[in-house]
Amino acid sequence: MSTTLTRQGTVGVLKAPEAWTASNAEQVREQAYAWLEANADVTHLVADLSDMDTLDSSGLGVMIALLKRMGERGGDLKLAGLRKKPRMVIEITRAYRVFEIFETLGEALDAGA
Amino acid sequence: MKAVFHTGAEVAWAEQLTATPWPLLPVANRPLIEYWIELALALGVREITTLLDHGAAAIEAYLGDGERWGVTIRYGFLRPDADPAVWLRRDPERSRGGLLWIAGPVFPRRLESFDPARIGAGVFGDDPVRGQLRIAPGGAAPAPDAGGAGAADAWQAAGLAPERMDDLGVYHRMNMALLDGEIGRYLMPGYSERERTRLGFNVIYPPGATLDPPLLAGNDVRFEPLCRVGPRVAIGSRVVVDRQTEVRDSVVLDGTYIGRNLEIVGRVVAGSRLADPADGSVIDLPDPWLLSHLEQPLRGRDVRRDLAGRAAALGLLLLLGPLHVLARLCGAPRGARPHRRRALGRRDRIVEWPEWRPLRPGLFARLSLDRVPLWVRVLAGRLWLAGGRPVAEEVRVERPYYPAVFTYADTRDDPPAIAAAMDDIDARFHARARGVREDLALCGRALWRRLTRGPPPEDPA
Repeated sequence: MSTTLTRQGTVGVLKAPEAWTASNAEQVREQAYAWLEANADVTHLVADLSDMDTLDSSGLGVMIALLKRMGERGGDLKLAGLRKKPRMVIEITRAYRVFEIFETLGEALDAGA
Repeated sequence: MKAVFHTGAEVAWAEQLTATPWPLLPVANRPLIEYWIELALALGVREITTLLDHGAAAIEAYLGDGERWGVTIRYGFLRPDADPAVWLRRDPERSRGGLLWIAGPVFPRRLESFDPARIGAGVFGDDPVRGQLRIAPGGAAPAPDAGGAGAADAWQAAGLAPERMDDLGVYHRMNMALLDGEIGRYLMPGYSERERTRLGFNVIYPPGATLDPPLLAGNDVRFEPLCRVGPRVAIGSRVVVDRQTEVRDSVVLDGTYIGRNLEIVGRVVAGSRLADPADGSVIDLPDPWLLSHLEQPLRGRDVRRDLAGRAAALGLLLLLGPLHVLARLCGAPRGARPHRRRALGRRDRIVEWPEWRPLRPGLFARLSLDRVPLWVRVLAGRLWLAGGRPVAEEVRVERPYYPAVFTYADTRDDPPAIAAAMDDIDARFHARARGVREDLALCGRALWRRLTRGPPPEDPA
């Protein structure tokens, strides 16, 4: 499954691929940047990770790059629907200190992303 | 008194974690089976029979003839469906004078009151089937599934509380318990001890690294600046913990690299595999920046093979790569759909294996153009040019493993029913016969056979 980006008001939703790794990290980043350019009024982004089973340091690097990009817009990148394997990556890299993480996409959207 | 160690049980949680056979899995940096030997020695045992199954070669290579411990170790085999009691009764001499029988992933945990002199004949372990630690009186072979009344009390009275390591959580807990202070109840040769910190030989830690006891580190361990290790960490041998990383309440197995700026808390780490003892889940992180299996340096023969293999792969890519691209642009291979499967490549890394199915014996297959993506992986060091057929990622490999593009199976047609057995035989043969000439010859034969007879029957894996 590939990456898709949609919006709900001023909140963008990035549906992450099943594997977000070195093999596709650059492609996902470019796709997200292009979408953000075309949707300049989107100030917050939620990454729906419910289908993502594999995450490596490259994928995490793109998440952080997106977090910075949203920060420049005065917004944020939130993570939702983390599965077990990527959660362990988030834990060992201490990325939980950087991202706000929600159980479901609905919770992230309700939190006023 | 004699002893029989039955190492034939399948232990799923250990197999998921590492290729090391479970009897050799370290508890506080010593293989489990060494604690068995130590208990046997404490009981005056000098003759041990070890029943082998999974991991037989590795276990026998480690134990040898027992000279290291001053015992005599012999080996036997027991089929998985065989009754151990029947095997024991075949030779009454085995249990004359008493018999210590240990089977399954049992840790012979010692209490403060441990006194081998109080373990007399007539004490039976009480664990059924999978994990057993029992003593039989002289002259009577024990029925492994018979429990003596009050057996657990008898062990307690002797100061022993055997722990069945049925899951990763118990394994992790036992390591932590030994680190917390129980380790003093066991022999720990070869370590220098300093305030509950035991370090092996050649442990390097710069002034900027913090080591908090209790901590065990094996041999050839390297800590980088600003890393914080401990409390309660058992680190195997040949481990690197990179800078600014924190490791505590964890077990790190041999040959592991832990990357920078990580936080490993309450985990078991084995190469690129990260396990959570709380629920037994194991994930493979094929990311060398995070966790990785530290490679053993290649020996001379394999260095030459590696170079020759990559050179041959490069030559094949230059020759046939453009044809592959052209063929794909023209829609080849017709009637076949691309598939990708995951296999265990070199250095325990998962490698994607693209293929087309069904592959007709047309020009695309005869010129081995379907193999072009695999030659890229040879060039990248993810596969060998010639060797054994790669196994599926979930399979544990205990034999010498050289996952390759070209195998002996490519030079003949094996019926699917025997393909797996032939793979095993081929792999063992190749591990002995391997060399630059053998590899290149195998590659040449495989390519020629493909050219003249088309692709072999579909890979049963």
